[in-house]
Amino acid sequence: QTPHLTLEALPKENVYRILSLLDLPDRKRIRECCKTLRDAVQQSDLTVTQIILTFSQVDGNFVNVKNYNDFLGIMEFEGNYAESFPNWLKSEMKQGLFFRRLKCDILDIHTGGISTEVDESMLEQVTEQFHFAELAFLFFSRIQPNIINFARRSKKPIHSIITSEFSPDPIEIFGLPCSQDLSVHDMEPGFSDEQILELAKQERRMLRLPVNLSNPATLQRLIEIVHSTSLSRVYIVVAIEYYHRFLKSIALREEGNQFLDVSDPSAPVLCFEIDSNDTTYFLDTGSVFLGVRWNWNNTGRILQIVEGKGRDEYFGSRPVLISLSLSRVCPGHDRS
Amino acid sequence: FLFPIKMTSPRMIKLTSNDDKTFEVERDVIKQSVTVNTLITDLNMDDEDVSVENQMAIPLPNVDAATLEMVITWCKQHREDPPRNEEEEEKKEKRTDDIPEWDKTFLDVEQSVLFALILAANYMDIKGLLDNCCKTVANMIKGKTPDEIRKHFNIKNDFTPEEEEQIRKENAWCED
Repeated sequence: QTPHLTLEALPKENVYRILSLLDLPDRKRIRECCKTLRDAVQQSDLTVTQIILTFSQVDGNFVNVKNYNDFLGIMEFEGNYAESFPNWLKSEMKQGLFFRRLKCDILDIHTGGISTEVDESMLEQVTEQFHFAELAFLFFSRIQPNIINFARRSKKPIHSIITSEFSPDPIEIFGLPCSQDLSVHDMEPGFSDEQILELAKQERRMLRLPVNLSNPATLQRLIEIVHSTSLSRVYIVVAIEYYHRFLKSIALREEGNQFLDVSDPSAPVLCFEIDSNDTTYFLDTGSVFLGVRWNWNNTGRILQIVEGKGRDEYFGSRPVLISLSLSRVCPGHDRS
Repeated sequence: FLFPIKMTSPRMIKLTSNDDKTFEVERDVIKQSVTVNTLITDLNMDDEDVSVENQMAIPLPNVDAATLEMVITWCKQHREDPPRNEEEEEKKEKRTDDIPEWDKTFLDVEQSVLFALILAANYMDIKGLLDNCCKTVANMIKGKTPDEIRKHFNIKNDFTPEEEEQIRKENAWCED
């Protein structure tokens, strides 16, 4: 005789499994249904692990929301982010796509532009809606007062902060209790592979390693090393030391814009993101997508630079300084 | 001429349900249960040259006979399935419209039976069965209103009107 079991009597892990198969509207209905299942929804990983917002005005206002779990690509939309983001989000929600794509309990804010002012109320709205438990930041250039205010007011734990070397010390700026996760290990150039590997193995969340992009083999080796560690994700923040040619290419598109002052050392910071599950990596400025991709196969080789705009086109033969930040983005959220 | 052919009978494993009913099942069939498979390996049962009559039965204290019988039937049906790659499965888009026809019919049972199968599949660690059971339940939920879901699963509405209103508010942004 099979005992009379109900859905509510199932262990939560089974309920999660069922709920994870549902689209958002169904989950919402379930949430309305009963407390047991509502708890299951709230305690499950059905909300996103991480949403990454990139704010910038460089390319006109847009927001990139990137799925770092499945890396289904960069979704961009035009228009003023403060208004278009919620609409876009709603549209995705309605289609049940958003939660399928994104699993997020960390709001990761990337500030890319020089003149971007992030709308605090929008940040608050997003944080409120998603019940983010933690915040993470990636500052390409400067740390904006709005963001600092937002972070201070939210009183949420800051998960990680990645900055370019041009940024002020985020720990000082935020004035918030910081865990050791926030430590950045600045190192002199010339670290051997073994030394880098050793550091990565120590499970430090962030390492900042100056490397030389002018030698693709170095970058390739670094990526191999990173992939051989348990780090689940890596940020490589690329700061271009000699960038005039690069800036010129942007200047042609955004003539007259003040931020294009080539004397501004904070402008040309590239972000290069790598996920061990991904096959393609994007090199972008956080704002202007350069159309440079390194294809990656499982053996860890950079296969080619695609889209016709290779490194040389931007950098020529000039040496480029890369600041490589290795970050375990989601410890505790890593479901691998 | 007739040549003698040596017939090798399949290796059998004994499983006992929590209501003390013992089942004999082919080793090759039950290998789909990670739990049982691990036990067999850990206990070196594969190496033992012991007839099934003298073999120790593996107790399954969380599974009753009726459910175990169904689990074995499912395992027999799926014995030829290729081994699952859980990493690949995780990466796949989550769908509920890909339940095989045989499973759809097999799982067209009373809810309590289905839930018992979920518990058994979970305990015995049979991912394929667990997946298809969960998809079946998810399909029961999809497209229903809260009231319909409550009715279907006999869930008591234990929200106060205020709590219900709060939930509606929280979710209003995705319903506009």
